[in-house]
Amino acid sequence: MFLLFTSLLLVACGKSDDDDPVASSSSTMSDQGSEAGDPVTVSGKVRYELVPPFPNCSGLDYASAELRPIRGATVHLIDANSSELIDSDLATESGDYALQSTAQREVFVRVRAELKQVGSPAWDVDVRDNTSNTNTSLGSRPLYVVDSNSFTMGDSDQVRNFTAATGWDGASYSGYRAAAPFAILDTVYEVMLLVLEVDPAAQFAPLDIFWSTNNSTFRAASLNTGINSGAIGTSFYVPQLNSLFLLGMEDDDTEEFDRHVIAHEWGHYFEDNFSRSDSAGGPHSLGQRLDMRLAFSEGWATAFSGMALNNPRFCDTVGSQQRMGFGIHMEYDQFGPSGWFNEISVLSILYDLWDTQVDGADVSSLGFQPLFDVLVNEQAETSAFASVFSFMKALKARNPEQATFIDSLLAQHSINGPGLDAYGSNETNDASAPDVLPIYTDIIPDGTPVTLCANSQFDGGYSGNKLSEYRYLRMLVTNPGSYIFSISTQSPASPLPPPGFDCTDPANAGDPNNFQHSDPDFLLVRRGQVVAAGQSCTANSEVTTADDLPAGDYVISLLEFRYADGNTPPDFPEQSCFEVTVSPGA
Amino acid sequence: MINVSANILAAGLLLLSVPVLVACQESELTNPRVDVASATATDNHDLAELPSAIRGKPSAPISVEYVIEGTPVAGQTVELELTFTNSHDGSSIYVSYRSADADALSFVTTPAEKMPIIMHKENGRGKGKHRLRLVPRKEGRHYLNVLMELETEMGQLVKSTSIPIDVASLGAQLQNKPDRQTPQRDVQVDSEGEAIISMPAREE
Repeated sequence: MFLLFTSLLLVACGKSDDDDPVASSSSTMSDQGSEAGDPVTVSGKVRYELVPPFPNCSGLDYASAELRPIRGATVHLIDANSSELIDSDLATESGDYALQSTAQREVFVRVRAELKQVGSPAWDVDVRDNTSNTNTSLGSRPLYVVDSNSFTMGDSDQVRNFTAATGWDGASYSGYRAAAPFAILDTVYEVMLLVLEVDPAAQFAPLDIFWSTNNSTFRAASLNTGINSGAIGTSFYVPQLNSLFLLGMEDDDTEEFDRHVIAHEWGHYFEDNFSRSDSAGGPHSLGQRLDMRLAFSEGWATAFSGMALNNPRFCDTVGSQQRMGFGIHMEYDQFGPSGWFNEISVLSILYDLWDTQVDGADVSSLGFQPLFDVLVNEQAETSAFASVFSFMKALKARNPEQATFIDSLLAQHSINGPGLDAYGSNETNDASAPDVLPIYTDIIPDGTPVTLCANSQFDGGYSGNKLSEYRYLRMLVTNPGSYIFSISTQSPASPLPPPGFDCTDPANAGDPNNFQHSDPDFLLVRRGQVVAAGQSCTANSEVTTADDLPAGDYVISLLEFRYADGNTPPDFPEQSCFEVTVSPGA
Repeated sequence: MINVSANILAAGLLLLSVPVLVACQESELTNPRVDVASATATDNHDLAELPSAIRGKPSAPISVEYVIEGTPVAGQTVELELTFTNSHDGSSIYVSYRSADADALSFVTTPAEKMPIIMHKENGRGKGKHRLRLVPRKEGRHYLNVLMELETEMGQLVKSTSIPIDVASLGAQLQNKPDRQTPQRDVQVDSEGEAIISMPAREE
């Protein structure tokens, strides 16, 4: 019932007879005689072909393609001779549209791959081609549309149904892949419904989705080049652009029918626009031990895809003729060591909190509202880094009657629930590795040194986003003012660069002295806001002054930059240890 | 010699170009979100750490790097050395190859539908190599699609990587077959001045 309510809300911007005096004169789909000059109506359904995956996610099942309504999209009636826009409508929940023109006009119907709504709620979603018109800004890249053949309006109302087809001929995409942008759009429509269930007045920030048949798993050297050429490497969300980029090259990896992948990336958009993510992003593979911020962000996004699509099997199809794929079953799958650093642990817990199926420790359900409430409130404002700990601390505080249930779910994934705080202070799961616990090290801003070590033991690719590569410090400032942050590398011991060596000089960009020494970097963060950064290329040390720090809780992320730099020599030690001091400034 | 890593998303490199693109986008957000603008202003190399880094989809813990030996020329055999990595458990993986356009890029010897790559372990990961010989038939960029499969306790995980082969010409040996006949999507400008890509709707 509630879903129906929100579904109607989402298409509430569709034109009604009441607010269009022209429309009120003829709203039926039956043939009716019309006097010359009177408006006549063309109406019908706009739909797209959806190709589902095989149940075990072993590729796309083209034989089972089904027609789905293009919900909420803009539908235009256009003069075929002058290209003048004659009338506009929004497709309803069932894909119905109705458009009017004067009789005897030569016209065609255009369906735009966009969702537009102003007011409350509001949204603005476009599906565009990132690889065309590359000399223009991304927001001006071409929007996908499907056009009907032209036809004459005649003297009476008529019914015309249009479909955006896949272009699949049984062996390849030999036709236009017209269904693709609308399949993507409809997945976004679907996931927005879940948010509207709990926030009927939601204001969705403008979202551009970029898809192209050129978007391949080959990755260009720079994001800019990749976006323009289609060499994007994978599907992803870019926070700075508030945009999704989706793969589309056939026989390689296509996403238009991988609804969970689209919903996953939209889950990242949700984080940035409704909640908060502190994830460093970057490559992550299933089963890996990840930085806790990345693990939560990715786990959330995948769990959200299961919730929004009401389907626990995440499915990503790939390969020749899209005949392969792999799935993650959110109820049953576990991969790699369980814990707060594993995205599958996080997604399983979140999904089990939402779903109503009873299995194992999953004996209850909170539904989406409590999860949403935490995400848009405490998780968005936590003084700690956003992780499973900050989320669960708030969730338990808001739902004390479910604390035992939550703790049992956490225990099932080797996370210590009883006594949990936002900083994971009680956590005992160290992933059987050094330099993992404690998750945060307290530091007093009075000059007292703290020693801690970072470790690239779980990173084979200089991603700089795996467990123990970042170490965290926690600091309470009671006296507002300036503070000097000083980090010096204690080990590995390495000779300093030659006197006078300037690592910032572009002429030295390829000098080995830029790559062979420890390079500690840090961010000082207050409730998600970066308030100071020490990210120089100076070897073995970092010194930064942060002015005018107000009193309050701060956290620091400390990284050995060598772990995130592909130029780092292979023999650079796995472990780097640092002495950190924070002292009052002048 | 062209040496390319096909590992996805070296976040730092990718993000270096983001600020250029940011200037093109206008989206004032009304919802609560974290503002990291103050951080980007001071970055030099460590953009990977920013909380706003790009976030990709989950993937299988397998990857491939490759070396194209020599310059690919139409009509001449070119050899690739592919190095596969299993960062999960170091076990063997299966690989299949496909030319995205067989008229433009063909195999000297048709590879098996699915071939095992035997791994040797290095620091807990498995690495295995395979050599592949191709004959480009036409100049231009052609793609070799590599599909990797890994059997795990969670079932089969797969990952696809496309490798571009940029082919120079050697006139006499070119085959002048037409490109694969995929409909071109023309960019138009609508009456509002907006760029669009129009595709035909099928009338039922």
